[in-house]
Amino acid sequence: MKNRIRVLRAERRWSQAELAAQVGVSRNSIISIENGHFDPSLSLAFAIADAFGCKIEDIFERDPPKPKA
Amino acid sequence: MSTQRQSSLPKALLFGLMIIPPICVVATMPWLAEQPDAVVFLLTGIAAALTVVASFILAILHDRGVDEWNRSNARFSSQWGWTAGASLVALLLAVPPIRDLITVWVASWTKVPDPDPTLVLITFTFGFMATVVAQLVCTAVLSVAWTAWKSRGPRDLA
Repeated sequence: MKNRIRVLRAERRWSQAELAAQVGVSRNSIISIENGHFDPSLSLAFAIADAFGCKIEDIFERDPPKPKA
Repeated sequence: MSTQRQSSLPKALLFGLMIIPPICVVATMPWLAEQPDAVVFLLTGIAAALTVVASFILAILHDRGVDEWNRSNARFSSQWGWTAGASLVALLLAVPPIRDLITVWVASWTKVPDPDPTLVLITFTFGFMATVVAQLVCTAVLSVAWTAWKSRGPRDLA
């Protein structure tokens, strides 16, 4: 799942630690989500969206569906 | 600060409860070897139960304080850790010096001068297999219970 967290964070000059503190998770969580290695739960995605004042779909973009065999 | 102290005290107690019983069993092995079987099984059973229960409660307490990334980490590590650990024991049992070492340990702990190596290894292997099979059965039962729990009717969301 792609996301715009890094861009939104840079626009607000927030560090990863600051965003992590705002949404109540560890900095490792933010690093992994930003790099696309970890998909957040729905509640965490909502919390991140709330922190940025955006809708979830403005931040996260799902991967294109895989073609069925 | 005081909250952290309050929460770290039970954790310290539980940690002690987790590691002290096995240490006591090992430390008292010469004395245990002279006791009747019933006493040995009772005391080692209590020690094992204390260790398992304390580690389980510690895991729950730790799980409450971490986020979903750490929970995923713990799920991945424990899942593969159990598999790797069980495989490692099975592999080690195939190594002759390890088998000899187990027999030597049994001989020194039980004060039996020359225990039958085959008997020792079969007992050890059965104990190990019993643990693995019990974990598999408990995992299957808990999986069924979790499925039933999560498949129950809708919550009143009004």
